[in-house]
Amino acid sequence: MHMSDALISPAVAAVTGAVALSLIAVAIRRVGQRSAEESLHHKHTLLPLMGIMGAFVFASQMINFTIPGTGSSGHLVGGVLLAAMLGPWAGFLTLSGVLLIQCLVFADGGFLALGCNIINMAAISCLVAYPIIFRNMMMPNATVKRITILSITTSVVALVFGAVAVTLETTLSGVTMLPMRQFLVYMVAIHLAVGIGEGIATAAVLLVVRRYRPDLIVDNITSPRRHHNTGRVLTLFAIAALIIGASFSWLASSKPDGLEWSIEQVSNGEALTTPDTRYHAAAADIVEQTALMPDYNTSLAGILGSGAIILVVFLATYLFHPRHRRWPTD
Amino acid sequence: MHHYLQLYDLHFAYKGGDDVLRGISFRIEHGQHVALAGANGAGKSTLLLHINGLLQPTRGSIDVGGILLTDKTEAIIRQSVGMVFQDSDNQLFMPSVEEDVAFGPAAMGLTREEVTRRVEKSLSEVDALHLREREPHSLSGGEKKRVAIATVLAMTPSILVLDEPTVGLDPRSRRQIIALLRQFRHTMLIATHDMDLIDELCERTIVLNRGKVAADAPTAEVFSNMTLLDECELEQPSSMRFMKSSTQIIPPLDRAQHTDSNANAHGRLEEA
Amino acid sequence: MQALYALDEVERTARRRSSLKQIDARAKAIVTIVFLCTMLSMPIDRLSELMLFTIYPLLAARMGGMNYAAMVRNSLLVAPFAALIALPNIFYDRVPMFLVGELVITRGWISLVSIILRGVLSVQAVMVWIGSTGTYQSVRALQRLGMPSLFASQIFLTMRYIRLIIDQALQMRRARDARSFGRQSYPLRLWAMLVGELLLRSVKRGEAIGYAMAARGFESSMPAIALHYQDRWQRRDTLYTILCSTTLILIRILHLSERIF
Repeated sequence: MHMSDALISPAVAAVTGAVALSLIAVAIRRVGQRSAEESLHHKHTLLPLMGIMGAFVFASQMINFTIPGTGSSGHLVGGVLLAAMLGPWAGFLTLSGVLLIQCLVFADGGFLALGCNIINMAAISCLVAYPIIFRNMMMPNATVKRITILSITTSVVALVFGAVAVTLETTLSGVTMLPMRQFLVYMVAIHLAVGIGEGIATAAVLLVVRRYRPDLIVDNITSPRRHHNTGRVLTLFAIAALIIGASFSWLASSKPDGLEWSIEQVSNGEALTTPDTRYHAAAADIVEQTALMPDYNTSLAGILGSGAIILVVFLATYLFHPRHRRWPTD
Repeated sequence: MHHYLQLYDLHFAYKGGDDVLRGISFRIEHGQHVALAGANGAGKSTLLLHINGLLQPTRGSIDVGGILLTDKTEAIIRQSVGMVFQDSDNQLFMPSVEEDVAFGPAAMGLTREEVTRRVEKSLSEVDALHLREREPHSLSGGEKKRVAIATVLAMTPSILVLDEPTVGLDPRSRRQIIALLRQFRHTMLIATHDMDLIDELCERTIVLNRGKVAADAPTAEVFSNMTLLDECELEQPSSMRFMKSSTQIIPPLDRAQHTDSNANAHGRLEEA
Repeated sequence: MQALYALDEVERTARRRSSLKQIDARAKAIVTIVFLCTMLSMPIDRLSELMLFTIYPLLAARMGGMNYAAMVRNSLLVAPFAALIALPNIFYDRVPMFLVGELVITRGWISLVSIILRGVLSVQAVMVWIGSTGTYQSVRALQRLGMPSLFASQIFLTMRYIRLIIDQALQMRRARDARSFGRQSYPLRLWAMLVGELLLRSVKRGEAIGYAMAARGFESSMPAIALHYQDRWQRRDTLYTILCSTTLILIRILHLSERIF
């Protein structure tokens, strides 16, 4: 899910942007190294492949699969698929490029929110979930079952962590007053479902690719791996499960008015104000400190006044640049 | 320098597959226009990819104007051997025509002035200067092919290698391309099904059949050898077929029976 | 299909020789970022100030020869999602702000409108930038502002082939639909075959492009191609940047509406 700029504060955007840029920088170096090491045949293929796979992602979103039982349809985002075919870093770069284009050309996702979107959607799936779960647990000549299960697990973990990231970023921005826990619950639930769908779809495509061109599956489902670091997988899985479980337990225990959450289950029984108002207040504080004047908030007069100004400007521009003027083209 | 092209006993197989090229040898002299004919799957495209080192033979070697093709000499050879690919869309990968044509010279490390000069010269040669700021996706098939040729010309190669230059073009564009190629004085190797093109442009034809050289002779000779053509799933150019049928006045219905040996090649579909 | 249409529309608009087009793309990019930062740092209960930010996309659209009404319409697509997440504000924030007749407008409502406005304006800012610059030039501007070249090259490639591959996908879909009575989506097996085929064809094309690039001298990085129309930064670009940025910062810092009215 693409985050819009509406809910982002510039501070959060700056931090996530910096993280995203660093990851991109590292990815470029890694990809460059890899290109240099590749066999003569493949050396010049990686960049064009990354470009084309980006275009493929857009095109594949035109073809939907039916979700049984709901009557609705879905399409593939492709983080795990890209990572499986290009490797984690190249897959990450490809998906980041797609996100940039979606933002600029299709107004899908905010520009300042790009840092968040790149982390939530590209980094988590390609750089965290894929290497730790999928690649780790893959075996040579894996069975259909193994591929499917790993695919689903990886996608679910990736999306659930993504959901957590979105929630954190939104809450830390302090724009919406949606209580973090409620938000988290809904996000996790949705992404859990979506993750399963994405996982199944990814597995299906991987199987088709393996049948016709097994050489394309990078970390080679067909080549031997030295050992499986099950410890890491279990840790990641456990964290994901904890998040999902906690979310659902909060969902179950939520009071109708939602204003006061019992956090006795989680902490030592102290009743606090909703933690998010603290973030909200903190964020508001930071913002206030940048203002020169004390906060007058908003009055009706102010709103009407602004409206008037806008109207005047609007009319003025029509006077000087009439709508029907023909613009010469280059 | 004399730019000849010599292949010695070239063998090639894709990883884990059977041999696609099974001992190809020939020599093309400076200035010759040679056609490479053969049915789909005979190995034409694969062979072409070896000439500038994009594929490495499993056995055999390639000599371009006295320089043996190795991974060290690859870069130099790619400046003398210009390759025009079958699908122009794959050849025009930059955001604009200008940048596409500039790509080769820029990669060669030339100065900005020289690059610009070459861009203008090559585009003028193919009569596409007016397209310079266009985006490749907005061009027609014929325009794309002309620009693709320009991208290669900009590197001032001495040998031109073309893979199916007329496939997929409408008749008018096809004529334009043939007229264009006729003007070139480069050494040319053209892989094609287009028998009429061979007839018009190439004085010599090498026929590939299942990875081997089935014939290497003057074009007229190759086209007169009906058994050869039949075996290699080729047919004669329309000029010769017209000649043949005009000397024998055969009623339309009977013609099918008489020209049976050529009929099967006619309806063959192009491979994507 | 709409994706392709949107792409073409952007390019068509960007080709108009408007006054905004004359400004260097980098300047426009910088101003867009300043706009987003100033607007989004505005506290959400200061709706009257926030509204003033509408002026930038309005003026820029007119200067850029764009259809403002159409742009606003397109930007409203973002509104529902922002509204959805902002909705809770109405319930949680009941601090009254002012009265309209008998109606009490709470801070919750103000912030809801603010959030929607933020979403809509941020989209408009990007539209105005891209619409008056063109997609390629915009990415190139980012590249000249510091985006890594390898990343930029990859993006250019994606943008170059996006139409082609989408066309292929649509063709495959049409061929399928002709035989299955116009289905909108496909059962998993069939879907995987379609997408898998598209994938394999794309990979094949990627390899072919790699050959074409290598044949023209590509080693591991794109050659730097500097052509005559790479605009140079001019005084008017500096003027534009400073003027716009200062105005935006002033709107952010000063309580213009509240003080005047």
